[in-house]
Amino acid sequence: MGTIIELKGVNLWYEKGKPNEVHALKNIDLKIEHGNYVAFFGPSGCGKTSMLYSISGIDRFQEGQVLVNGKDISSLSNQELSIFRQTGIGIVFQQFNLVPSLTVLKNVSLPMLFVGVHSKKAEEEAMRLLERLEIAKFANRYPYELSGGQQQRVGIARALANNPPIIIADEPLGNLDSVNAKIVLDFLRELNEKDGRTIIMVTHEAWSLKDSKTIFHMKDGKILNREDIDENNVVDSVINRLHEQMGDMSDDKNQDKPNIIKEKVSIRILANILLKGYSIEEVSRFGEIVNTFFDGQIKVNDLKKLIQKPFKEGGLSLRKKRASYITSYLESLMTMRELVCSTYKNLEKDPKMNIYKRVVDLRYWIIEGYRGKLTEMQMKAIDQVIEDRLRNNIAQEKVAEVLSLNNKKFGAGLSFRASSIIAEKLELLLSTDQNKEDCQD
Amino acid sequence: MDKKSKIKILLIDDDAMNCIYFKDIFWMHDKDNNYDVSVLNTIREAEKLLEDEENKPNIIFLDTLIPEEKEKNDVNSQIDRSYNFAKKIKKDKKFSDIRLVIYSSQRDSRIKKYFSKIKLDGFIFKGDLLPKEIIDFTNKIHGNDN
Repeated sequence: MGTIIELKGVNLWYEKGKPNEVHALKNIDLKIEHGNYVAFFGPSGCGKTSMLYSISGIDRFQEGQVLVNGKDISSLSNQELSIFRQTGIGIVFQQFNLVPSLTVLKNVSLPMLFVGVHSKKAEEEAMRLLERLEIAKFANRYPYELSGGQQQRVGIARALANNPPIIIADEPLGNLDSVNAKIVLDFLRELNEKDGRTIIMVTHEAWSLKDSKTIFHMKDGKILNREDIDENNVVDSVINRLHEQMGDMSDDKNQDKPNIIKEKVSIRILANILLKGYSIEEVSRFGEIVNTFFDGQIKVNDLKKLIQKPFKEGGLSLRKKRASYITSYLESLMTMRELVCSTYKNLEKDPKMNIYKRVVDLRYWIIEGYRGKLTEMQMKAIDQVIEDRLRNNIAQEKVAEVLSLNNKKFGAGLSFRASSIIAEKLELLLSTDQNKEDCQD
Repeated sequence: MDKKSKIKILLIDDDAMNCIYFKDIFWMHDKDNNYDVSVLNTIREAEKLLEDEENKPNIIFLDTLIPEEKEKNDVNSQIDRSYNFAKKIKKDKKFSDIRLVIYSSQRDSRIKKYFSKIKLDGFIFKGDLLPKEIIDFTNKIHGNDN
């Protein structure tokens, strides 16, 4: 196999020379062969996406060369790079990046129209691609009318317009459920094995590496090693990567991620409530931002602006409406936690004081969004659990259990699901010893 | 394939975007790396290049609308200039081994009919072929399609 992509001494900085400078790629040397299926694998922020952006000419690196079929793309003008991206490579994005005002057919035709293919020809080819992806019946629909899995298939069809020999996939499974993720992975394999295209994927999910023939392990902007997979070691390789990934997430190996250890508020619970279906990288970014907010380093307005910023620029790429909802949720959470904080302080001075009014305020916040109807008795039972928890009369792990007990057994008689959600939200208010420590400051 | 033994293609076209696109097609889609593509933006430059037989390409792709400095540049004059250049290539014995393809930016069947008076090796309207199809077409007219 000849070389299709070669990186020689590539260094990429963002905001070079500024106080917030990031050295995203450090002295990268690598080769990718024609027809290979390559994955860049590593923890959040290791430079995987910068690697893809450098190969596709989206990011301009400051040092080194990226040779594609022997030609150095760093010498290309912006117009040349733009046409290269339309003819030479197809990019599949995590967020699909479809044009919302265009039908599926027009979205797939667009890269062909861009390079001057006649509209009739472009639409014929787009329809052929939609048939290949088994989504031709959605040709005249708009992206918002499709599920995430269907949108990603449109994204792949669009990447195949102009028939590029290289397919770049940037966390292509991040927004998909397991069924659709498998469909996308199977299709990427088909593009590699049947069409002979070179596939380059960025992922942080070990299980998605199963079809990769080469894995570049990355950390801190560097390639740690290149692992070539064959049929004999593919299973071992995936298992190793899973261990590696879990190791990255466990506390004992997380000395380089102090933000997780010094968590101000339970990110796991918050992400479960506010960011269902988001990737580990996004949740991790969310955690960093939330901690900064709860630490008092940024104000509400900054928080709202920050989470709307593109992921690449340190944000979460959230839409305005979603960003507003999350911001006001976090703001109200902060107010409630201050209430909990002052309650702790008062109880410390007078353990017997009446805290009923505060308990009711907390209960209102906790049950907000609960769609069922609560009886007077159930609310009293919830209040009792909140008070017991504040007074430390009941352990955290017992809360959901007590809430799901029936009334005769002094429970609230709630479903398992409702009990679990209420228990989690209560824990969000009281969570972590950090809150108690902060209260003592 | 080294540069000397590659099949030389000359595109004569003034459209900057199309010139980049055309070169990219052969850069990215010619998996056998058979072709060496160069581009000139005027017929005058092409005539000058062809004065030296060493520079002779194997295949010429010629647009039908190419403005020329200090010449009449209405549509008919531009088409006539391309036509006369094509006729010269096909009539002159020293160019008899050059394959000539009209690569027309004008989607008008009358143009095709007009150029059919010359024995061309191919006529394509820009936008009718996808990148891979341009490679297949080129392989075919050069006899590389086996």
